[in-house]
Amino acid sequence: MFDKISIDRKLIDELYLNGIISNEARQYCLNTYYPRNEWLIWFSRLLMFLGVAFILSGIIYFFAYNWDQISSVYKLLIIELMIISSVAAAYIYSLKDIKGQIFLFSASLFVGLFFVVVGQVYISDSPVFLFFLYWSILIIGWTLISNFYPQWFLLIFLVNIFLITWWNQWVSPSNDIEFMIYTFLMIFNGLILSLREYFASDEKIKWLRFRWIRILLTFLVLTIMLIPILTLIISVTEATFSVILSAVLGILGHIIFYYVYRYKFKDLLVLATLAFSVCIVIQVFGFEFFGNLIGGTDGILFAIMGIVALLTFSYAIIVLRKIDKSMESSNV
Amino acid sequence: MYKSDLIMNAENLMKSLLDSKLIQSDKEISGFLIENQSKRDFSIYLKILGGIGAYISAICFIGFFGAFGFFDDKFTRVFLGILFVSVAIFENFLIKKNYSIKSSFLVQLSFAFMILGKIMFVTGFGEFLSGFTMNPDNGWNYSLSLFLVTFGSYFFYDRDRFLSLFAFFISILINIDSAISDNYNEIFINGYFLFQFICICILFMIIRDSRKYFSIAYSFVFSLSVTVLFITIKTAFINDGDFGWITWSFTNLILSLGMILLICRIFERRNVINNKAFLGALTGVFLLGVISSSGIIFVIFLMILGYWRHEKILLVLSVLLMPVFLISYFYSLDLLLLQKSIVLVISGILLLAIRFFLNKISWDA
Repeated sequence: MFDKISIDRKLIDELYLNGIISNEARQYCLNTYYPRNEWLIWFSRLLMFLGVAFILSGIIYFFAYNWDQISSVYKLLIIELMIISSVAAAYIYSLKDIKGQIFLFSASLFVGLFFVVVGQVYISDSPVFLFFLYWSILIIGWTLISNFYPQWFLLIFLVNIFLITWWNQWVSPSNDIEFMIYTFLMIFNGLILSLREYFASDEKIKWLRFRWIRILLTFLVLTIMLIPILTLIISVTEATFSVILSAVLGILGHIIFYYVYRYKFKDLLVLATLAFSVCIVIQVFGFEFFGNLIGGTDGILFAIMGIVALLTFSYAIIVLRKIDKSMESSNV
Repeated sequence: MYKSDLIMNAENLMKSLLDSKLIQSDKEISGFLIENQSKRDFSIYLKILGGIGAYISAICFIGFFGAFGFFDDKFTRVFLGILFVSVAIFENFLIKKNYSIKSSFLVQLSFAFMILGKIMFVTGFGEFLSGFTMNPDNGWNYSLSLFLVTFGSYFFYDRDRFLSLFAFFISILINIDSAISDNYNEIFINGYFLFQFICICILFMIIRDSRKYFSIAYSFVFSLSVTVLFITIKTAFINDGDFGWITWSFTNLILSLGMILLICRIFERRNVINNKAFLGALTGVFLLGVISSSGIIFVIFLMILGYWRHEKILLVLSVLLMPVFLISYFYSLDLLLLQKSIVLVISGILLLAIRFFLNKISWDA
């Protein structure tokens, strides 16, 4: 049975405070389960990220100061030179080394800077979404070979911004299809999360195993799924086709999330976030339902909703606690 | 043996302690684990989920009492506040904690009652006290009410200790800023900063069983973070004339001294004078104290403290605060854009050099 009891800092401290293990043993446990070497690597990387970020900001400040004095041709040439030297440095250090990955990431940022300058020099009426589209397309190749999560997050961020600006500025949707953007965002970000889960077990792509990548993507996808569901509840009588479709997909997405993280990958934090999302849906639905039943906002409505909140969250906690007990934690 | 090589379960823990001869037998540990298995706490995610649920429900109950006019009279609020806090405490004592929906519901209900009761008491008693003061808008009434209700329930109810204490400390900061005249404002803010910093040093660096005082220690950490943020906003962004060189030099000095104390604690039982890493760290602290801002030193202090005490929350907090303090620092530098760019590049090179140095001397050894 002891292999089922997981160890955490609190348990180690409880053993020490109850006089069951000595201070020396406690220190040994903490060093074993929370090794300082892992933190040293983390701290070392933090120093490197900050160092590179400072140097890059310094370069940007320098150009900002001298910007008006530099001719257009030189502006573009300088940025092109920065892109080429960053890519060359990435090649020299190799993409297996974090230094090489950071140089490639810098080159990706310089590509965006290049487009900004091009936009300034050749003042054009081209829509904003094209800027994000071109930027995304140009860094896709680098992202695929980078093995570096900031590079991937940059691409995901750019594609999301592209989709939103394209939808709002170029498509200019009518009221009927306005919410289709949530469907597109759900599909794109859901696909990225699925790819993360699929490739995380691959020995060659170890960087994907960081749990926070999953958590970040989960928060993003769940938020996108939640908005149309809540919109449908609040304005059910005026709901358009796109709201209904996005909400149905959102509900389906919640079910898929439950199945995948309950049975396939077993992650309690994702399930807790999912439960929170469901509780919010129930709460909003309750307000709408009982509000219509009672008529307007009333003291009684608040009392009912207070009890509904307690019941839904309590039930969610009990279900999650049972799941927590029944499943071995898996961080893959 | 590191975490990646070791499955984090009790069986491996006992085996590993036996192998290292740190325990004679595993009987005591196994006995403790069996005894405490049923009492094992909820996961932190579930606690947060429960806390959110209780807050939503407390807000709904406030809406209910507000709609029926119970918030109109201060004495009713004080009476109901004491009643709800008492009910929450008694309910918490009586609940048989198990996996049932009833137990979970009652735990949540007691938490919601506690939040509701404390809000009612603080607003009611604060308003009652304002009748005895010269300035009716005096916020200290509410701080006193928070103090009474926090310490009145502290030893009987443990779920909201951190939040209650944090609210109390923050209320003091707000009152110092708004209620004390401009002439003494800076002195009091710095005094409050010093008080909180000393408490953190005692709780994390001197007391061995700091886990016993977990809520107090963390409420001080979060409150001091807000205080440092407050000082940074005043000095860097608002450019408040009341905050200047005195605050800068005082906070930098105190934090640097605290950092030296921390480094000495980390290096205890070693020949520190000849230790290159120790001397390097001291030089770093001195440089930081001279050229940096209190926010940056505070973040580095938290980071080292978290690293030393194995406290992940401190590390995460320091990482979240770091960008804010870095941006404010460079924003507030009284330099031309060109000079700032040079300072940034030099700082970047310095950080890369520190990384190189730490890797060379294998800091962890």
